[in-house]
Amino acid sequence: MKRLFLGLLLALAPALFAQAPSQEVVLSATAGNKVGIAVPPPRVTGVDAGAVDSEFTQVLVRDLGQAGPFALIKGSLPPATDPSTYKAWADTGTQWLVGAAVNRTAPGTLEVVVQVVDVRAAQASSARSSVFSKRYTGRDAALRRIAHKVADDLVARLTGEPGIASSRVVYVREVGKGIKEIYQVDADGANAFQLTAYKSLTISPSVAPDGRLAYVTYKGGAPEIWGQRVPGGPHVKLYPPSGTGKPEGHCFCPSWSPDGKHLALVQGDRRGNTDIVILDLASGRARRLTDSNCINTDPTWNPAGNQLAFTSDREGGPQVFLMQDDGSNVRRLTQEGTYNGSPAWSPSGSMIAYVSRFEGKFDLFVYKLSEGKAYQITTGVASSESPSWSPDERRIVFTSGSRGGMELYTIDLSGNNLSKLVNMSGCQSPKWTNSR
Amino acid sequence: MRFVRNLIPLTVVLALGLGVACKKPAPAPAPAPQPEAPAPAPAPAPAPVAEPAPAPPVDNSAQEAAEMARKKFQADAAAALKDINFDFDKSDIRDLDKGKLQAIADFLKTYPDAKIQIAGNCDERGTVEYNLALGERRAHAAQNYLTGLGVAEPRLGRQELPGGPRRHRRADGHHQLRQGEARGRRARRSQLAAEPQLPVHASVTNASRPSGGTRFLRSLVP
Repeated sequence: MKRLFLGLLLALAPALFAQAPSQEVVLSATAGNKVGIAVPPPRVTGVDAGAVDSEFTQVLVRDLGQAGPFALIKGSLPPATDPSTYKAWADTGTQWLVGAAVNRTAPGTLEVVVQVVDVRAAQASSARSSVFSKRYTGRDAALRRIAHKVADDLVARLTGEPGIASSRVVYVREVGKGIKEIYQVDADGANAFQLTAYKSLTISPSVAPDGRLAYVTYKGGAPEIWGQRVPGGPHVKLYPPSGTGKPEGHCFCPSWSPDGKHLALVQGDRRGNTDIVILDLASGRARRLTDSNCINTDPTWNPAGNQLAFTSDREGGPQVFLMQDDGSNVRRLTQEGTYNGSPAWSPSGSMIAYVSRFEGKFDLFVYKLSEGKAYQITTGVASSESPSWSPDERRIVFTSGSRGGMELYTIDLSGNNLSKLVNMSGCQSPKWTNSR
Repeated sequence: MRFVRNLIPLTVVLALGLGVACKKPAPAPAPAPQPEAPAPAPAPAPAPVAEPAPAPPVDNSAQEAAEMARKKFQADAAAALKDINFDFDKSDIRDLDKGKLQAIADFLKTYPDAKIQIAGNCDERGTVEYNLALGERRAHAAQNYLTGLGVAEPRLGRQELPGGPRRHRRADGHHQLRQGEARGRRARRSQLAAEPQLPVHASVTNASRPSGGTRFLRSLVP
């Protein structure tokens, strides 16, 4: 069985890679290949310098340092940025010198003008030294968002792929006894705010690529799946259908397909067994994929939208399985451990993150499909759960802690650089999305 | 199974209390179970009521009978509606719980108008999503066992909202049972409820798990 499974993976691997976007070029850059970048203090006119520093410069510096392809140059830097200083800048290891000016344009609005010079190229010849030039405008409160946009644009300029500085994490937070609401927070941990206010149990969020939410809420008594049919639109009931066709069991775990037109979800029956079902949003029809006398739950799509990973206890304890989006070709992914679940398919399709329980505590694992091997990411004293990938596949957001005190953290794939995302406990089910 | 963790709505209403964090079932405000008894009002506190001097003597016997009937109902409910435990990660009814379920069925036969609510719970040693489904399955297991003993289905309600003690009190005679996890975690749970926030996730070490082997510790990034 295992050989068959591996053989299947090897056969599938080319297909998986064929559909993956070409992200491998810069994302796997080692320190030697990074581009040195420096952000000296911007020139400021008519705007509070302290606000510019905290809401623009520091935000941009952090975003660039986190992005991957850049090496942030710090320490003692040349005091000026005119062409005569380019050699001094290049000597610090800087390649891209970010010059910014923040100017008041009208009461309450400002502009940010960014010009980036390649100081190494400028020494060879000044002709091609300007690598980036753009003007951003917005209200004063938009400084932070502009900094994120600048970082994303610079990453795109260098790698061809957009950055993730403007991304957000949608999650669940317990705000009171028996009350959980959906929240979101910026990728740098700022601007946490509440998205739902049902004063009930609202859990299991999923975000479509165009930003539409779906989640389970108990506000009507029995659990229902609510969400948006239109980007930025009102929240409406998506499932189950009203009227006599109502299923007998509860529903759980909505998961948007990559094309945003379908929701995979979990439907229970009168015996308490649960099956994966795919709901077509336009027609309202639901197609059942599994039909087992067991628990099938927690569906997650691959980026191509033709496969799902899910948790099933059909062979005893919960394990991660894969299947095609028509329910065929069910095969087991996790081969070690007695309890594996919470799968999350990576943005390129090459890896699946999940959690594995050992002695009552969970740790994060990543399964590399091309190799057929599992890698352990966390080995801390606390339990780690609910992994979700950053859109650039370099970090994973997850919850960690112990009963009553689960918090959101991010970690890189080596298991290093653990970072708390936001100072909030009682959090669960984070979903990292590039959509706004 | 009650989720010790605050996450997951154990709400699977099945409130057959499963051990762990089980609290005692809340007393049910009771409608009189016997049709011929007068409808009981909530028992007023025995505070003296000022009455006009020429008030005729009041006959309290009907009220006293109703009060005694309600007390008997509550006592019988407290005796019968015990939590049911499930083995770790399982949803089968254990042999030693079958007696409890029989007692519940007998209670419901004694009081034909009474209904109960069932809530399924799990403890924190499971993922959010799997626990939701497991709690659901446990609630169904208890429900199906009771219908197998002859209890009519409409009398077995599912608590839709996740349990908190305050939600157990319903004015229409529903009595809440809670399900929890087996293995004597009761005491541990109450201790945890008072615990301050535990230390955060420690930094990654290279300790290998005893039975996991070193194969798990490959680094994903060169």
